[in-house]
Amino acid sequence: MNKIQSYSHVFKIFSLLALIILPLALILYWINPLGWEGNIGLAISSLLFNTTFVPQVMNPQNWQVSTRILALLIDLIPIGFMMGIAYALMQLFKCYEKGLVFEVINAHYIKLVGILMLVKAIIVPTLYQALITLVLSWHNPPGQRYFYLTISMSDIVIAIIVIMISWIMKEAAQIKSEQDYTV
Amino acid sequence: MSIIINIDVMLARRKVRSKEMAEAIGLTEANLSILKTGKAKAIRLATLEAICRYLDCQPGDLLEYKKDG
Repeated sequence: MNKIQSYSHVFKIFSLLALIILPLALILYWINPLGWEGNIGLAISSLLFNTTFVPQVMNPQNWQVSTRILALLIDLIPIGFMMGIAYALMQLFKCYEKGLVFEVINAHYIKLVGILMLVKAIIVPTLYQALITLVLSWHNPPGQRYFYLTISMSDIVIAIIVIMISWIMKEAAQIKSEQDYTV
Repeated sequence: MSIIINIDVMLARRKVRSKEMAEAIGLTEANLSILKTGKAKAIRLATLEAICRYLDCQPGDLLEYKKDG
């Protein structure tokens, strides 16, 4: 139990940091994508959270301020989901840290993580990719505009597995509750 | 729950304090409180036997079924 609690403390702090750093890195990046701010923002997001704010094929030279503001708003879609996941994980690890393992509230947070992962896995490769590539290549010469649309089945499968785990945890919580009230 | 545990009634009849009984049969006060407040979801036969032995009663004296509504 001590091992769970000490690791949970570390993961809780990491989730809290993700919650704070992710939006900061995003804003930092879009202040100046080609400057040091952009490099720091991108380095933080890609190294720590394995995410980028722009598709790699995009050319940052022709981005105007209005384009950057619009791209920042569109980037809030995946970052928002990641922040939601980080928040749910933070709450989950907070419970584990307190020694509350098989509780209904934990199952609720695991389910929330799964649902956010599932929606993210559907929305990010489709709606987000399409919007961001369209906005960032809007000022390109005709014939060089992009419109990306992808789908990642592995992310969807992982999200569904997480949701299933939440159901199992809910069952476990009910069994524990029965055990607690057996005299 | 339509099963009522009349442990309070039996304790009063035998003029025994719940703390005394808990200590005598090795039940924690928290668990005895769960029994008395009707929060219990199950009762072990060993617990029931210990209570019956201590209070010199039958399980039927402790448990009562009442129809809902």
